[in-house]
Amino acid sequence: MGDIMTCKINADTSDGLKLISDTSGAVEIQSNGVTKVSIDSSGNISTVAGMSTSNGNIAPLRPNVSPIIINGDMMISQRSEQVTGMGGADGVYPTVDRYRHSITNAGGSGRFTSTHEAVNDIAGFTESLNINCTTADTSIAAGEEFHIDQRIEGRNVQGFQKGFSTALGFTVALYVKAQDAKVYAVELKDTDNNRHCTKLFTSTTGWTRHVLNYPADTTGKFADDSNTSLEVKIWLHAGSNFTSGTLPSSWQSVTTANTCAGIGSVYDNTDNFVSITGLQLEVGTFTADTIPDFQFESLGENKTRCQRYFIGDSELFPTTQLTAATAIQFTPQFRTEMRAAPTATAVATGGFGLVGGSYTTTSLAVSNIGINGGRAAVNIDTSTGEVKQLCQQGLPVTLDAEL
Amino acid sequence: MEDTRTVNSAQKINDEQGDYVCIKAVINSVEMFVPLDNNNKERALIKTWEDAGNTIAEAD
Repeated sequence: MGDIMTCKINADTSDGLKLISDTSGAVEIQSNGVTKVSIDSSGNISTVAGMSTSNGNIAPLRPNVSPIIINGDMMISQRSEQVTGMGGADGVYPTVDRYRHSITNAGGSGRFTSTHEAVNDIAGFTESLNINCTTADTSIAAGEEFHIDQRIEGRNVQGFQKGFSTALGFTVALYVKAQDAKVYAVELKDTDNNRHCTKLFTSTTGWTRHVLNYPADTTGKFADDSNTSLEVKIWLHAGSNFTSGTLPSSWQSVTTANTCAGIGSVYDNTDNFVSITGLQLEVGTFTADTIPDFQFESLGENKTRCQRYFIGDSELFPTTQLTAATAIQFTPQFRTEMRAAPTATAVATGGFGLVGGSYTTTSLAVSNIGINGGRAAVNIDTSTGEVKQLCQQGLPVTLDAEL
Repeated sequence: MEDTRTVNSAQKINDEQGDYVCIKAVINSVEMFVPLDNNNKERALIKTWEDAGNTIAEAD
């Protein structure tokens, strides 16, 4: 039959209107010879304008849903803008909020600087996490490891339905820029059930968005609590203890030797650097064409989410009172509930009473702080104010409830 | 990976009423006040340290 320029299709009264595909199972709607809308054999829809569905979920429309990854655009850095000389011991959380620098040195010589670094050559993003090698390590001991991790609470990953017959896939996307082409890895690790799956990507000298697919896992449910259930681990360096096996490209019980087989090392030359931004984790399986756009949060939303895990020095302005000539009491309340009662570490700083008087805080005396706030008594050097005087000072304490 | 930091010392801290409210610990040479919350990672580290035969000192 030739082309029909204009027609009216009348549905019958019993079945309605049907568009029936050939045996491929796909249906396409074209305009000027270009497919604009397609429906695949599983019923997922994608349009050339960017809307798509995966497993029935409408990808770009996620009303009232926050990104699973916190601080994916690397905007928040409450601890420090830069830490040098890292690599000799476990780095924990040095710079950008929520990114743990997990290091086993094992006698290795590799050292690096971690920087919360501004970027201006990638649309939409203004900050990155930069890892810059400062001392090379070309004689890698078997036990060496260095990866950048985001640890995610069990309550925040239930949407993957892991461990159920209806389990959904995982898609990780991240922008990476490096000094050369080098293979690195992103491991997803289910810490509740000791299972993992790893995908490799190759860095380039310009910003490249890598989209990595991980299959659904019907084995092992995530615990529904506020402890770590899923770790997103960006592997930048590893010894043979982690690379001598076969990459776990589908979910399997953890075999350490398989973890990141095939990766290169950020430590192999002092010219090396890796910059990372735009980390996201999506429920479902997406390609570079169908993955939802990165969800940018406002600075306030982003920082509040980070402060569930860490509150920096002088971020809070609680009610404050001199309780003795050498003590001052703070009663902070948090903007958001913290993940767990936080560890408090004093930061020496100065303050002053509202009607005159000044002092310098020196150390903590007592901390009784829960997930919503509490009380901390801080020692001061000497005060020129009066006991019971109200004071004006940010809480000179860091509060850490990280995973 | 396991938390490989070193607990240098740990001591109970009581508030003004004499209630045991937190642990004053030195971890990797940094003094910090650790809550009595098993979900806190420093408390978990001190628990591991205790399991290795160490004891949290009584309050002053």
